[in-house]
Amino acid sequence: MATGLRLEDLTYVPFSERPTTAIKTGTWKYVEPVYQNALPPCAGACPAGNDISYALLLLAQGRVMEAARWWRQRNPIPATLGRVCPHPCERPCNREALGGAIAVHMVERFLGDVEGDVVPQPAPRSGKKVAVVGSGPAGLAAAYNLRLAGHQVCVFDDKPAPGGYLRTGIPEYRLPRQVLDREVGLIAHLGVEFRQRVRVGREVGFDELRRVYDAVVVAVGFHKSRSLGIPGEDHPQVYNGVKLLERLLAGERPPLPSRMVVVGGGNTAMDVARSLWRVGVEPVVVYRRTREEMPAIASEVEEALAEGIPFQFLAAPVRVVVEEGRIVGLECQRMELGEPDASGRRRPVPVPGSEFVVPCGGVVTALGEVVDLEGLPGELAKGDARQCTPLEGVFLAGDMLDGAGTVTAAVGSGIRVAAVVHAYLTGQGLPQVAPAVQELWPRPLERQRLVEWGKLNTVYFRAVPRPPIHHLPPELRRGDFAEVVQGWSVAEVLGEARRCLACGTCNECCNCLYFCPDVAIHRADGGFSIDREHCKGCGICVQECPRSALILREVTR
Amino acid sequence: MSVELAPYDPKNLHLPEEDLLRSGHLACPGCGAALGMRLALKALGPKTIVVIPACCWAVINGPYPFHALGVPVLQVAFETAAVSAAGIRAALAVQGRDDVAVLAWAGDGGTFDIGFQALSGAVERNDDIIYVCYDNEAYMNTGIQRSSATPFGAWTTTTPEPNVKPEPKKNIVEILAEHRIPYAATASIAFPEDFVRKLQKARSIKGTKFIHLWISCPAGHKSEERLTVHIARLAVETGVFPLYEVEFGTHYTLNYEPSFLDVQEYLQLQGRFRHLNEEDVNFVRQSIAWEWQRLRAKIAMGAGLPAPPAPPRRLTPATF
Repeated sequence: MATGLRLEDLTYVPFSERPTTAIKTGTWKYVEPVYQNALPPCAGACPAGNDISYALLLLAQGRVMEAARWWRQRNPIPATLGRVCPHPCERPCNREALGGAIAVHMVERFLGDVEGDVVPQPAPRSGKKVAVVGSGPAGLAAAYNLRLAGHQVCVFDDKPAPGGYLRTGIPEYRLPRQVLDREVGLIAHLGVEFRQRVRVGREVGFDELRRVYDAVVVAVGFHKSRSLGIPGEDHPQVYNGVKLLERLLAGERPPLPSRMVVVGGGNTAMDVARSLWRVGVEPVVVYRRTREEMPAIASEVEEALAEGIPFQFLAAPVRVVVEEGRIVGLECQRMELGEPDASGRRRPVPVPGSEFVVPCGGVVTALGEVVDLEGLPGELAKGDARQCTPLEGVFLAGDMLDGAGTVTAAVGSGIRVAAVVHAYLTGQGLPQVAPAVQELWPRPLERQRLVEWGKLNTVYFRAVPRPPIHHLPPELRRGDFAEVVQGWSVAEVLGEARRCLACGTCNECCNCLYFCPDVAIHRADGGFSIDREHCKGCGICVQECPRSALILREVTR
Repeated sequence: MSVELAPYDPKNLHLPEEDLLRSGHLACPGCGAALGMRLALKALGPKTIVVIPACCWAVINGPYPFHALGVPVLQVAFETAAVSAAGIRAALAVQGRDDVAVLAWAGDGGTFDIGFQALSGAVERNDDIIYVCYDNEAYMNTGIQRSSATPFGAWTTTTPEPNVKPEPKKNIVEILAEHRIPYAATASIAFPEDFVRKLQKARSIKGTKFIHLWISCPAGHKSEERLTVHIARLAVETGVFPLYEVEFGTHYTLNYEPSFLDVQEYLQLQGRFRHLNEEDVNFVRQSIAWEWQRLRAKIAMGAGLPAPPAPPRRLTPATF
């Protein structure tokens, strides 16, 4: 037996050589992983619905042009928004605890400034005509998106150049005119027609507009100022802030008193005060509450303080003091904060006998604006959740719809109304509510799943500090309207894009691939695929995904 | 637009791409041992022969006629992993091949208890093998019986509540270090790059190499399947399982300084520790601190020692 024994004679030696891939262990599972991109907190907070994380991912990969194009898919004015937006996206940023929130506004600004082929191609002509009344941010966004959808769009505006409040109300030190001109030019280049110096309701009748166009979008914004309602208000040296700002920004330099009081705590008040300071006036801001309650963008207040502009908080004007026909001061009354009012802010309550005079030669009011419907039908005063008015084929966007008060919210409103109008024009029927901006993204995403801090697997992240943002030194700002916030270099922006955690968006970090005990995840075209025949549904891939780009779902058989 | 910037690399881990573990193996969902084998074969590559004694992996590898690894496997008796691997090494030497790694892959039962004398013998003879003990801290395959790798306080079917295991875990790496083994290390599936590096280093060393790989076992630890890697990471981060390596039995190197999270973070995720009261957990905390004092003392002692003298000649088992 022992002689001449060969291995192949030992037929009873169990010898396994068939691979286990024949065993379909996928039948064991009752839950299975699915790749699913979810809403990052930044995009969830963005009123314009910018797809921030995906554009940052493209940027991190060095795909600058694609990122710039991606950002302009819906948003027509990123270079503008990057400069003027109060960036609510950065507040919930999950990076905050790991070196500081991503400077999304700096990235948006950079992407907006990228030159070249950045505007998407419009769809084939639909044969429908839309009139947009107002060329502010809401009107521009509506016109851009309707034009991209293939419609013929004409924008009516009563000012000499398009831009609305962007041009008449935002000073150049925040938004240089060539930036705005370029973005408006890109929209015009797309085929949007701009008819300037045409006020609907005066030069053109509103009903005529409705007759000629298949749909009308009204986005005229808030331009009519509230009045002070105190004695002496009708003095010629009491200026309307919005109108004065418009003149200053148009390049006019009217003779002004050397010391002026600006009344108000909003963005207009800050813009007026800082513009006056630049043309040589000594402004004093009077506001009836404290800095905490100011509705102005916090960074604008900081910049005003950096420029040395004095503030009188808890002071409310009671009388313009006029002597021999000239204003010599503004009499104010001290306030104290009482119970919170409807806006949630504490209501200022006058302190009796606390009157005092702020010496000045002129007063500027910046108390907030309201809609001016002169020459337009009263039905436009209120829109519904679909951004429709009671008038057939007439839609609303921007501040006059929601009074949100920021350029970004106006852009979002314009994007949404464009989707509603498109549905109306193409006979799809109107939606119950205007779609959320994120619903209009050109990539699939689970909007209901917000990727907050707790959903991340943060062991894979290291703290990296946010790079500094450079500002023009205050001593160099007086005398002209040079831009204050300096842009970032391409290297800084790409570095910042790489700091982004890509919450909810797969960036191919490969954790799922490497940690699968069943080798059931494979690389596939532009990502990964799951071998459902062998995946046992343990969920390690879901747990170890740093950014929650996978979920476990129940298996239905 | 061109920018001077390092290439974008989103990867968290940098591991060999090739996989020699096949899908369809019979490990439970979320098995740490399967992940461990996957990583081990990534590190060692196709020129590897694996020796598997009785342990979970004897089952995971598949029923006859199936086979889950893209390399040859010899399944051997419970107590013989080290000596069988040494035999294969001898056979390879007879064939004149020294480019093949021989990996003995045994569980904690087959290492700490049943296979211990064979392992001790192989280390004493300095047989040229890599021995990986994948440690899930009990005889999981046969029904979660306690082993000498089971930690203090753990529930098993042979240490049921309230008579949970009163003894601490055996320190296998120190025992092997006392054999003057050329290389011994601890590793974790939650630190794959460290594990892969240690295996590759082991492959480059002649003689016996021992790697103690801590793995989680959802079935035996009574933990969630998805938390396998997470718990393995917590074992390191809480200080329960330090990552270190020992050369010549004396030179200790700490590979990862943990953040020393409270051990409760680790314990509370495992049903086998559910019954521990605050007093028990305090004992665990004190034990961790004491073990770390010992480990740091050993590191300090090794740092002050020169490398041992090299023997004038080394007879390897290959010289028949």
